[in-house]
Amino acid sequence: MDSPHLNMEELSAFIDAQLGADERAGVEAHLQGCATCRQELSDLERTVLAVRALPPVSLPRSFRVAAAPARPAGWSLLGWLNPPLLRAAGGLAAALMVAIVAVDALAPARILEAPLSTPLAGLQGAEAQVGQERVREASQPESQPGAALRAEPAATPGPQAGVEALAPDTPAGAALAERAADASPPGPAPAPPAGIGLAPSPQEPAAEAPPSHPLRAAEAAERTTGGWATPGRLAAVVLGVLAAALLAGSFLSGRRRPNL
Amino acid sequence: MEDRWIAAAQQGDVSAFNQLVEQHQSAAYSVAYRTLRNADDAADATQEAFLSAFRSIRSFRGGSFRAWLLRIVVNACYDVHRYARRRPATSMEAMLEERDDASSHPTQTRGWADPAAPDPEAAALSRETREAIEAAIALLPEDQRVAVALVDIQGLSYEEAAQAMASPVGTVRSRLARARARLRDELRARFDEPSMSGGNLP
Repeated sequence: MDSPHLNMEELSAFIDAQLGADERAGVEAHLQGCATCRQELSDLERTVLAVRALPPVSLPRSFRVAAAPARPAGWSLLGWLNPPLLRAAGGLAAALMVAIVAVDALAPARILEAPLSTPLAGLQGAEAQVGQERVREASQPESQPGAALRAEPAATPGPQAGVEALAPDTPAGAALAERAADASPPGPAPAPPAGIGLAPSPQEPAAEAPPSHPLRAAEAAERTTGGWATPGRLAAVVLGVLAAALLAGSFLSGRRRPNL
Repeated sequence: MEDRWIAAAQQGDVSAFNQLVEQHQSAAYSVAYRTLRNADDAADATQEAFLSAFRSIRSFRGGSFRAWLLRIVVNACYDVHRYARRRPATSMEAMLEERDDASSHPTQTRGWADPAAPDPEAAALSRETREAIEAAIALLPEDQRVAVALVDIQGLSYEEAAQAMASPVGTVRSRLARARARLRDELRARFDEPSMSGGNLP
């Protein structure tokens, strides 16, 4: 009996017979000679008995788990669209996106120039050729003014069109000239001058064309690639959206599954 | 029998798992109710716990299935409480009020359980005593409340309770002792007995 009295933990564990043999013997010995601790033990026992005598809580309902809706072995669509697979696909798409963005950022020359330089070279060659052919066309029927409207030779034949084209100062003529330039970007820029000249030398348009080429090339590049949207960046955006969709799908199906 | 149900449930047999549900849902709901002090929350936590148990039953590696299951129930209760803590604690105030009301009415019955009673039926509690104990349990700190629910109400061993609470046995033992001491103090105060009986030990 070293300590004056038994502590609450000893008494509590004694009630539950959770003391080791030595501890238990010590407690029993103390209780023999200590009325205070006997009283404590008695009160504690009554408390425990009162708690144990509480009426059981009545069950509000059954908590049975609903039967799973015949989970497919793995060949149906739902079987394939399991969260791990979706997560893996989403992760792959995300990784691809990151890789493309990284390549785009680290080596812009390859992404920006490689796809464009080749078509442009071809474009320039074709442009020059077309320009020369049209100049030849224009120079042949010298008496025919309609030929001045080279960009739309079939659509607007006849003297009337030629007259309009011959008057580039009038709004209609300017518009037509513009449309001609738009309809065939690589086409001959000097349509109005040719029309005015009525008899241009083959060298004239060819000489004028080169200065306009840089601008045209830039425009063409803008139009074919959409400016900012290089193929690589477009692919990155598409992959990013795909990754987000796949991951969201895996999350949703992962949440749905528990309800069975 | 339970082992066979567990094995079948681990193979995905829902009806086998539901046999386990039938067997343990009273204990599960009781622990949840004592922990959460609210029937709706307790039902939600119990259902969530059984679903969670079915999902993870493959991770059960023998031992006390009841303790394994109640561990999931206790966790589900803690989850509910984490959400509930953001709500105003009206229930606690109501409980304190109720307690004051109760103590303003002098008790007619000295309804303590008689430790000398031969069987639990004889230890039936008066309504006042029952309500007093319920209120006292409800006022315990959560950890102590869980310990009381597991050991005193559900009859788990200290080892099982330790497993269910993911705590060492010593922690269960001390939580239980502190909880019982507080409950005893509550009952002493309520029944105005500095010492509850004349010291007649069995």
